[in-house]
Amino acid sequence: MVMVLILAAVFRLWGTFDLNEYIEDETLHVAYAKSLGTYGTTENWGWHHPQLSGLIVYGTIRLFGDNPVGWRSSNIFFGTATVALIFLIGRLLYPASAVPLLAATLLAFDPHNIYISRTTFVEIPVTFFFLLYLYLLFEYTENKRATLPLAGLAMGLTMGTKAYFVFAIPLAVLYAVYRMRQRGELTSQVIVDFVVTLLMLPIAVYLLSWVQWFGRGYTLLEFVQMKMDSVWALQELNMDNFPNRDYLGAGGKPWEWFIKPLFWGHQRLLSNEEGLFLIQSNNPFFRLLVLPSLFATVVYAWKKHSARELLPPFLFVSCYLLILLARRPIFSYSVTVLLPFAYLALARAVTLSAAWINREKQVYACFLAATFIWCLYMFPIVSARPVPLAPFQPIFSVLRFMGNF
Amino acid sequence: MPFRSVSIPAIILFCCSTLIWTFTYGPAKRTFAMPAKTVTLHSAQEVNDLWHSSGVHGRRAVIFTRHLNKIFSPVLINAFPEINYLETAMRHGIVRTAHYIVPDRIWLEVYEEILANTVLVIPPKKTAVGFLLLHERGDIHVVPFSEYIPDHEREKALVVIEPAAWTPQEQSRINGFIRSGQLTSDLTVIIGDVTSTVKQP
Repeated sequence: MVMVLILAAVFRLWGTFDLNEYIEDETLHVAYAKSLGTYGTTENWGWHHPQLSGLIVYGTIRLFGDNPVGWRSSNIFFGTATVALIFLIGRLLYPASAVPLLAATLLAFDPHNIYISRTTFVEIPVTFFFLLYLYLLFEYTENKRATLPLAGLAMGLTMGTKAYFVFAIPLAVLYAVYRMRQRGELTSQVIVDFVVTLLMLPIAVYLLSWVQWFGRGYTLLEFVQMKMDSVWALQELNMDNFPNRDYLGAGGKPWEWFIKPLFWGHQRLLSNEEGLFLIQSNNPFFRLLVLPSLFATVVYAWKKHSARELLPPFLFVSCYLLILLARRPIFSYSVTVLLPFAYLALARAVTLSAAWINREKQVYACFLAATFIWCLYMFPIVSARPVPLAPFQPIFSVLRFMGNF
Repeated sequence: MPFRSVSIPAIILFCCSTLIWTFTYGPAKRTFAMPAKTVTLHSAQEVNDLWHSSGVHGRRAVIFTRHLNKIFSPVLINAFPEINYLETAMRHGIVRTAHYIVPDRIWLEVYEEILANTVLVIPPKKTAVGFLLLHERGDIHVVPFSEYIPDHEREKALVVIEPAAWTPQEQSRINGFIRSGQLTSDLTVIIGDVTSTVKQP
């Protein structure tokens, strides 16, 4: 696992600061962060989003300067740490199995996750904070460690970053309550602990994450009104509101993310034979296996009457439903928040299949090798490394969209 | 949970403090012009300069002008405002929310003018008395004059009045709001004759 983590860091760090210009939405994110930090106001239609991610980027800009290191360093850290967290969560949910290693490897070597971790997308920190919350909550429920207040803190940070996990957060709490009840430990004292640490504390942390907004003179009543207005405003958005709607369509509609192979991106040709590329994809070789894997793991968990085994598929569904049912266009980078649960389910399906055919070592070795080789092939074209065109023609021939940067 | 007797009360105390903070921090960050004054200016640039130099922050603005902001009326010639003074003030945290009071006789004209503006990502939101512009840096309440009742008397506002946009009767009612204390202000700007002094950028 240490080797996977090191490689995850290398793929996210290597050459990330070489591109001294904004990549894709960085032009929005960095302007947003600087305006938020300087004036407390937002830029580029970001007023309705929670503000913690902007504060984080502003913090790294203050620390490292207004340059690629300042813009991207936080996502490199959070993206790499997320790999460690999925391993730790896997170990708690599927003890004494290969699931943690397989799931962490899938995420570590997912070319799209590597691409997103090398930019400023908010999906990376919000996934990190949510996994941190899950891990700390499971340490409490499974190992009886005193991590409940820290779980509440992480839950608040998740809420303060983006609203992807509004269904998944209470789902995890319900699971924790179920586990405590199952063990006969759900006393009134535990209920008080839950209310204080998993309700009051996260709300307080969430409110504090709006420190810059409150610093503009607002009060809590105005905050409530603003949140109501933002819900209304988000429902009014349609495709025409997005200047980059070609790009919005290129990543596919949410229902396509785990069904069709999708490739799109940007290029800068250096000659007829060489160029720099920022290619995005839905990592089709692996993500197209996710839905069947979810089905298999749910059936297995149902037969075993195991709530623990059911949790990752349920978390996946809770996040995916929010995206599928949202009454507004959704960009494909939102898939980032689904990947930990998708890959936990896929890894579980692989271990079940391997055990079924009684070829565990061979299956795991093939799976890990395939993940790594695919990542090695894709890495140069997701990271703007100068590459010859010829070896990547199979990818370029199926691109849905190719812009220039 | 170990140390529960300490950690739970500590968290409750922290949460209560945060709740109190949400009501006190914002108002504490508002800054006002001292002493209160009324000045006559001749351009939006001068209003912009005055607001910045007065050190005001986190404020409500109540605007009695023909045009809200150049950003919503981009073809203004020899008229107030010739620059996006409100946009700038909101961006810099000087104004957090604005009330744009419109003469009734041009209400429909203003509504269509704003509706046609491509700066808005989403259309205005209708309210009981007018509509709301959900602006990137704060909301702007657009209200016809006949429907306007100052309801924020406890918070002093930055007031901008363009007398040329109002009839004597309307002007008298505006003055009444101020004299009666319904509308209190620490910094009132009267827009004087602009046709001779506004410099187009």
